[in-house]
Order: sequence, then structure tokens, then C-alpha cells
Amino acid sequence: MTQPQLNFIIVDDDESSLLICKMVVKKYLNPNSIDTFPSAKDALSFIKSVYDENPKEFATILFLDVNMPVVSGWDFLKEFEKFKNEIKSQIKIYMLTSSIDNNDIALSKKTGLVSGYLVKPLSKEKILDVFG
Amino acid sequence: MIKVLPKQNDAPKSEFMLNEIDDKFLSFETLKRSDAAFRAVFNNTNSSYILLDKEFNIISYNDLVTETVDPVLIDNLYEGSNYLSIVHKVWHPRILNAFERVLKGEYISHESECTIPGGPELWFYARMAPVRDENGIIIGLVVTSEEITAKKVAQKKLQQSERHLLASQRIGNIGSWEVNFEWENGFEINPEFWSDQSCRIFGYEPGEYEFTKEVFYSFIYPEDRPVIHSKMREAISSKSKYKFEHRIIRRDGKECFVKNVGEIIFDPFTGLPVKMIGTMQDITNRKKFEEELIKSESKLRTVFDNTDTAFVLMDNNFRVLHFSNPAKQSFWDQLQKTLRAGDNVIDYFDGDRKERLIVNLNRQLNGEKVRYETTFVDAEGITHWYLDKFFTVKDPEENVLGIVMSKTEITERKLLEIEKENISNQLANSEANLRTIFDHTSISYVLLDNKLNVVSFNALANQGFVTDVGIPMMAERAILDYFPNERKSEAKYLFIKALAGEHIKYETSYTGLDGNLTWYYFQLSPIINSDTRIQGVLMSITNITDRKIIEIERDNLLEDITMRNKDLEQFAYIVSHNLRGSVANILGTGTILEDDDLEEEEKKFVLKGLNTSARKLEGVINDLSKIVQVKQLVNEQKQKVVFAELVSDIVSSLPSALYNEDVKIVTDFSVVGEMQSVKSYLYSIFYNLISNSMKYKKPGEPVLIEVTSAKTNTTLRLIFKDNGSGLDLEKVGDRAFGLYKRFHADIEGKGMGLFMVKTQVETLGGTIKLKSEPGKGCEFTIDFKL
Repeated sequence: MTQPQLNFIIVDDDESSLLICKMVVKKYLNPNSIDTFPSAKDALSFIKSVYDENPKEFATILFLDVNMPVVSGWDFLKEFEKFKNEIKSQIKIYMLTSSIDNNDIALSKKTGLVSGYLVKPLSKEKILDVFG
Repeated sequence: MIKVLPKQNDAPKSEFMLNEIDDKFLSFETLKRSDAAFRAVFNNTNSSYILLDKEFNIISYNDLVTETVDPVLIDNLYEGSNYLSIVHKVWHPRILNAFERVLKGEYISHESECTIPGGPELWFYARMAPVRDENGIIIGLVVTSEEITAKKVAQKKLQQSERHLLASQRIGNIGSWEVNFEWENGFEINPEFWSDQSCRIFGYEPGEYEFTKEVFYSFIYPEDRPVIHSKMREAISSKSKYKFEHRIIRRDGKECFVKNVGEIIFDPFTGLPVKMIGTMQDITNRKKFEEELIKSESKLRTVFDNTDTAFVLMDNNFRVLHFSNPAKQSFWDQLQKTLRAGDNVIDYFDGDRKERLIVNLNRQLNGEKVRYETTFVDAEGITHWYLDKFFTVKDPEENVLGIVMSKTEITERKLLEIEKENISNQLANSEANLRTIFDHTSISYVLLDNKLNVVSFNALANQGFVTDVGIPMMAERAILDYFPNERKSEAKYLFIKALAGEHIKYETSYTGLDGNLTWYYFQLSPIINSDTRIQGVLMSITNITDRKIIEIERDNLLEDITMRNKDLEQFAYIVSHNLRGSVANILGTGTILEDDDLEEEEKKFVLKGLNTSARKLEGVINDLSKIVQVKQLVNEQKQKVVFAELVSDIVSSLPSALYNEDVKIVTDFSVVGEMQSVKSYLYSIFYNLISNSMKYKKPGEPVLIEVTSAKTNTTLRLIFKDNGSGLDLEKVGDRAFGLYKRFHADIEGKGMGLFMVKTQVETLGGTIKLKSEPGKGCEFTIDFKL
């Protein structure tokens, strides 16, 4: 199976979850790069600096946890929306959450910034279904 | 023959004739001799002639001359006399001038007014021609003249009347027209003449259009065209005048009304209609006015006829001028007489009623305002009441023109009045009964006068005031005496409002002398007498304690249910986010472990993750059970808790990482130092708040924590204040006390502390509030009801 080369960013304050996500991505999606952030704030400043200065060769997939302290997934989206189009166009965002709350799914659709909604745990089937 | 002379271009012909004459009468004699033949010619015409020699001596003349000559001078008229002697002196200069020109060979003809001063108007048409001999030498002159006074007057009159006509058409907006008829296509009108004003009525200037049939019809309102035709044909067949008002559409599109009057001209020989001559008048304004008048009249009429009041308008002599339909009906119903305009009102009545009416009408005429009530018993024996009123109609100079009589049925009002009277009589009779009822109702009544003194009260009121205030009710005592001091001013305010006409209703509670709390529903109603003055206040008091207790219980229940509901929501949130988060991690690691390709190193890594997740799950479950426990432990024995002891216990149990030399705790429990409560809860509350203040300090700054207590009548207050990093409450909002809500990324915590504090405070029946700003510390205020 030939897959397009992709960059990955994973934002999740839960270390176990972050670890699972990283492993699944590494194993099944043959990523160009994986960057993980337990804090949304750090992820935002990383994107701002790296993606503005030298655009990536390949598209980037960002997995975003919803429920995080201080800067939540929604707060992240609000900040991300303010970024330049040159940055935004490089990154596709997928919400990643343990929540099976329908309100969260509806809310993510409303923002228009979100490409998809994935419920934890991330598995081979789910990930290949979307990116395979 | 000489008649043909007037025009200069005819001159050669007449000259020939005159030359002939010259041939035959070369001299005076010859002129004279031909006289007979000449005279014969002229006597058969309407013209007079006079033949003159060069000295204007009359050689010959015909009889008609006598008619043209000044009657005063007629004696001088004979052959041989001088012409100048037979005409009035005033004409001499004119005549001499003309004759001299003729003697030089000119032919003169003119119309001239020859009115003799003081005499009737006279006009002549005169021609003067020279008479020559055979050599062409002028030997005399001939004057012929014709009286044209009648023609001239007619002409002048015509001119004048034409001028008048034009002016009057313009002024009166009346145009004239002539039309002829065409029968080829049924019947059509063809305009022959259209006066200037007629054109203007149609909205254009004279001469602007050639007034053809098509143009004519284009101006006529389409619906009116066939009607005009039939009206004209009707006039033709009945040989009568044509009169019709119809609409036109002016050139500017405006719709106008015109009135046409026309007369048909018949051919005297065939008797057939030849044409119609008529006038046209713009009556749009009149028509509009008429319509409006009709409208307003009909409106007035409608009002007049649709009120229940009957109106009869009469003149000074009581002769009926107008009346409304109800008036006619009323006269018929009550007198079996038909009301007619022109009749005398008095004649409709007999006997006493007649006398009374005459007296009343005359009183009204003399400036009194007459009104009285009458009754009438109808055929079914029912009595009707009426109010009869008279009005005087005056002109602007205050002269009395007539009287309006109005009659309004007031039976209903009258019956109500009678009923009211009966009721008040009954009331008076049954006062004793009423008193019994009054004293046995479950409502206390106190009647007050307008000075707020007691007038009357029922037994229950007395009993109530004795129980609550210890003072028996007494007439003439001020009601405010019965209110406790702290309530007097409020009560006075409400009583005064009631005296101003307001209905006051309120609920209040009193602690009676026996220490029991009683709830009352007070109503203060102004007492208004018949002339709308407020006489006093009726105070009614209902004991609503039973209802109130149920209400309070219900409110408490509701509050409880609302809180439980919130807890449930919170619980659901924890399950969906926190429990599921750990479960998802365990599932995720499980799936990875299933993969056989996993390297040993990776496997270890994943297993560690699995362990962490499982432990986290255990933590969440433990937290949940703690929360549930808090809610179940309400019944734990309450004991005396001393705040100072609590703080020192906590301080000694805190890890040194939190409580060190940079932390200062200041307490002030001087106002209130202890309370009866569940000790474990208070410990947890103090512990969480104090340790939080230490955790969320400003980096690198010493920590200052102040814990104080305060007290009011009903509450005990605890205040926890720190100088830490604080929270942005605008951002955080009501999530500050939420479970697993964390606001500091860099400091360890699971978002449990404040949630537990709030849960415990509320379980103890208290409330907690947070005041904070980023960088300015937090201040928690806890209020417990006493």
C-alpha cells in the first residue's frame, strides 16, 4: 500500500493517550515526522514559528485533544483561526477525544476548521479508514 | 344702378353710365330734363339720390331724400335750394370736404353715422360720384344714400353680444358647441364648432387641435359615450332640450364633470334634425361638493338615526323641521301618531301632557335648561324610563332659531338604581346577620377611618392582635399602635397609599409573643363613598402560615432537586470525559499489545502506559466514591469545631514542599471562633483552600494567607484570602468549582479540590463565592446559615 507522506502533530495532555497515538501513527501511517505536545500552548507556538518560516514539503495532520487544562482544544482552535492562511492551508485538524458527548461533535463541525472527529482509542482500523 | 359704384374697381363701369348721362344732359337744363327717367329708376330702390351742380344746388332728387334729411331743415328742400341748407350744420365740414374731392374726380363711398344731436341713432351708406359733360369736364355730382341704421345696430349688437359671449364663456367657464349627426354607423356625433372655452374645458388651448370626431370622442369618458348617444337620440325623438351631465377625460388625464345643454335644429322643409347647438359647463367642483355634501349628510344621518336617542328639531313655534328615525318610532310607539315635518309638536299631545310640554318648551325658550324623566308603559305592561332634554339652537348672533328635543331611554339605569336602593334597604335590615358572618369568617377585618383610626373590627381581628401584639382592638385607637416599632414606618407608608386610592396586597411574617412564626396576607382596600371620596381603609388579614410552610418546603425541595440535577450532570460529564479517557487508553494500549510485530522495547513502553491508565482509572473511581460519600455523610454527628485548632492541625500535616518559611498564615477568629458542624468536612474545606493558596502562589514571592471569621444575625462567615496568582473569572466563570477543572498547566493537580470544597460547603447548608483577578490573589467567602 502506497501512502502519501504526511507530517503529524499530536496535542494531548494525557501522556498515555499521547503515547498510544504516536505509536499507532508511526506503525501504520509511515509518517514523515511526528511532533507531540502535552500542552496546546506549546503546540501553537511551534506551528507559528516552524510553519511560517519554512513551509513543509508534505501536508500535516494535527490530532487535537479536546479536554485539556488551561488551553483546551476549543481554545486552540480559536487561536489557530487567527493564523495566516499560508499556515492554515498546510494543516488539517482532526479532533481526538475520549468524549462521546454529541455536543462536542456538533461543536467541532460548527467551527469549520475541523476535518474530522476521532474517538479514542486510536486504532489501526480507525486510522486507516481515514488516512489509508 | 349707382348702387354698383361703391367699389373703386367697379368705377369704369359706373363712369360709363355716368358718361351716358353726361351725353344727354350737357347742362343744367339737360340734367333737369332727364330727371323723370332718373327718378323712375331711383324711386324703385331703397336709395335716395340727389343730383347737384358744382355749387351744390339741388337739381333733382327722389322722394326718399326727405327721409334722410334733417327733419328740422326739411322746409329748405326744393329743387334749386342748396344742399348745405338741408343738412345739419355739424355735417358741413365733412360734406364740403367730400364734395370737393368728388368734384376733383374722386368716387367716395362710406358708411357714416349721421345721428342728429339729440335724435335717434342714424346710419347711412353714402356714395358720391362726379357728373361729367361729353368732354369729360365735371359739371356736378350725384349723391346716393341708403339708410343702414338697422343693419348697423344689428351688427353692433352682434359684435357686442359676441364679445359678451366670449367674456361670459370665459368667466362662467361655459363653452358652446355645435354638432351634427351621422346616422351611417348607427348614431354618431360629429363636432362642427367648438368654442374657445369648450376647448379649455377639455384641457387644451383653442386651435391646438383640429377638432375632429375622433378627437372629440377621445375626450369623452368611455362609459358615458353610449349614454350621451341615447340621451341625444331621446332629445331628437321627443324634440326636447338635451340636458346631460357626463364625465370627460381632460388632456392632462384629469377626470372632470361637464354639464351640457343643447337644442336641436330641425330642417324646416324636411323636419329632419340637422344639428344641435349647445353649451358646456365644467361642473367638476360642484359635483365634488355635491358628493361630499351627500356623504357628510348621510354620515350625519347615520349617526343621528343610529343613536338610541330620539331627536326632534323644531322652530320657535314648535313646528317640526327634522327628526331622527328613533324619534319617528317613539312617536308611533307611544302616541300611535306619525311624526311629520311641518306639524306642530304640541298637537301630538293631549291633556296634561300637552300643558306640561307647552310650559317646558317655553321655559327652554326663556333660557332655562329643561330636562325631566318620563315613563311609558308598553303594550306588554313593561315600564320604560326616559330622560327628556331640550337644547336651544342659536345663530351666531345668539338669536334663538329653534329647539331640539331629545329623548333617551334610561330604563336600565333606572332599574339598577331601584335595585341598589332595594339592596341598601336589605343591607340595613340584615346588618345583624352580616355582623354574624363578619365575626365568623376566617379573615380578620379592621375598618379604619381616613385618619387611620379603628372604626370597627371583627372578633378574629381582635384575637389576632391580642396573640401577636398583646393589645386588644379598640374603636378610635390608631391602627399604627398595633404594629411593632420596627414596622410602623412601613405600615404607615402602605396605609397612606391605600388612602390615596391604591389597593395594597402583601405577605409578611410575624413572630408572635409565644415565639411562633406566623405568616399573614394583608390587603388594604380604600373605601370609596358614592361621590368618589375616600372615606377610609378596610384592612383584611388572612393567616397563611400553613400555605406558606408548604410553599417554603416546596421551594427547598426544588432547590434540592435543582442541585441534585446539577450533580447528575456533573457525574455524567465525569463519566463521559474522565472515566472514558482512562478506559480509552487501556483499550488503546490493549490493541497495540495484540500486534505480534511489537518489539520488546515497545512492548515494555506500552505496558507502562497501560499501568498508568489503569491507575488513573482507579483514581477517578476513588474520587467519585468520595464525592458520593460526602453527600451521604450529611448525617454524621455535628460537633463543636474550633477554627484555630483546625488551622494548626492542617498546618502541621502539610508537606514541607508547600508549607515553608516563605508562607505566612494570619488568622483572626475574634468575632466568632467556633461552630457546630461536621468536623471532617470543615477540615477538608480548610485544608483544600489553604493548600491551594500555597500551590497557586506567585512564583518567587512569599505567600500570605488570611483566614478570618465574621457573624451577622443569621449567618456565620469565613473568609480565605491569599496573594497568589489568582484566576481570570471572566474566562473561567462557573467552571472554577467544577470537577477535574484545572487552570494551572504548570502546577500538579487533578481538579478535585475546589469541587470537593463546594460540595462539602453546600452539604453543610452553606454557600461559597470566589472573588479573584489574574495576579491579584483569590478571596473565598463561605456563608453558613445559623
